[in-house]
Amino acid sequence: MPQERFQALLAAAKVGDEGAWSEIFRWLSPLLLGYLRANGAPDPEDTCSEAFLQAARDLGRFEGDRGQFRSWLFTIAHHRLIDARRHSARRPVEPVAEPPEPRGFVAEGAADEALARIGAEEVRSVLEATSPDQRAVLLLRVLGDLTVEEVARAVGKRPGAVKALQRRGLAAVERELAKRGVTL
Amino acid sequence: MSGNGAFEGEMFERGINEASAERLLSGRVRGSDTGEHAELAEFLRAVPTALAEGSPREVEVTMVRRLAQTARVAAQEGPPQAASAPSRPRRRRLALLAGAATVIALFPALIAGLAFAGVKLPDPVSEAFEGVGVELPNQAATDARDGASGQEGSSEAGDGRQSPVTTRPGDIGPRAGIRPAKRREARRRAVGPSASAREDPNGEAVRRGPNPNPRTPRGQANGPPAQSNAGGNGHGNAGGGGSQGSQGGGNGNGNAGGGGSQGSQGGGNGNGAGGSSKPAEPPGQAKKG
Repeated sequence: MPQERFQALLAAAKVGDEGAWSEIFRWLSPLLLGYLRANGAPDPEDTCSEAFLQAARDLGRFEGDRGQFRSWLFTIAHHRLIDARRHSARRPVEPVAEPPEPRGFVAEGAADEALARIGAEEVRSVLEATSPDQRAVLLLRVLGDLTVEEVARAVGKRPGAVKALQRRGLAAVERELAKRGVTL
Repeated sequence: MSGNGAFEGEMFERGINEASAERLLSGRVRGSDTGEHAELAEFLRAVPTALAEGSPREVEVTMVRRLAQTARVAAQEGPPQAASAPSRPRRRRLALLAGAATVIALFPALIAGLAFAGVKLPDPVSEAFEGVGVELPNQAATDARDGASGQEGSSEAGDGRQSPVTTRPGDIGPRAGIRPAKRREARRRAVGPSASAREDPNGEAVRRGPNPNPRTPRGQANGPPAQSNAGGNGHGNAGGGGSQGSQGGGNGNGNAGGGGSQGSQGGGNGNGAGGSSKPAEPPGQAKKG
């Protein structure tokens, strides 16, 4: 999406245009949901909705480009994830019925179609080899496309600590892949 | 939890340093580019596609409507911070003002509490309270003035009689119980340390402390020291010292309450004249009766 197009989209979203919000939601909600689910959010759909609603409330203050908007929304989602975990730890709830089956992510190219063969469950199980902090850092970098400094601000750590977490996380993933003999 | 660098050896064994990690995470390393981290690079590339999942259509429609409505409301209300709580500096100023107002409001109560507890407050403080019509309890200056005014009503001092303890109509409650001790204190202050007279059970002023005139037995007036100043005591009982002094052959001036009563001149009859202090003789000039 070109920057001019994104700025027009942002301006329309600020005044409450449904078309603009539909485009933003379809662009980022799959990634946010994947991030929240891979990080073990108690209720990923609810947390994702809260993150979007907060973004809609605070959108008047946001100024930036497409990448910054994506980072901003992932930062909000990460904070909502922490809140949801705390809330869930205080008040554990009984599991409810399964949410409606999500639609599959639409691959944009041939390479993505090939990669889409890797199941989400397989990816999640490999990521289970990392610690929660390592996983959050890796996913914020890969899914949210955040820089090290942005991740550091989002998770409340120093950039050096984030770099150490991502190195260890990558090493853990690589070990897990070698152990499983996964062929991509 | 392991500290920083706990797996450094392992990491470098696998060949993942900071630069490699940065290249992998930024998507600049593809599986076909290098065989060293081929699996890892392909896995990271597959993560967004594998994990991303779209919401159901009905959820998306509902959510988009809510988002648009929320954005419209937020746009109409203006910047979120302007409509919400005051800014931090303003909150700090308000808290400071509230604290100062609380301190100012509690200050008179603190003063009154100290006065009630028997603390002698400085005169400007007492006068400030009296200026607004509030009389602080247990203040010697106030009691002394009360004693001076009360001398008029009980000036039997010169007669050598002890007046009963007079209780004013206002002396009710705990203040009435505290007042005698305070009055004695006020009396001592008004007379000074040289003449600390107290009344004996018969109502006579008995001189205590060192007797400056060894020829005069204790308990009898002797010139100037026999001046009984009953400062602050409206009972006139200290004037008894003056009358007793006159019985001993001298004239005792019974000064009650800072010139409240006039002592006797001979004959042992002391006339207490409260309020109109007119010394008949200079102190120390005793006449034979």
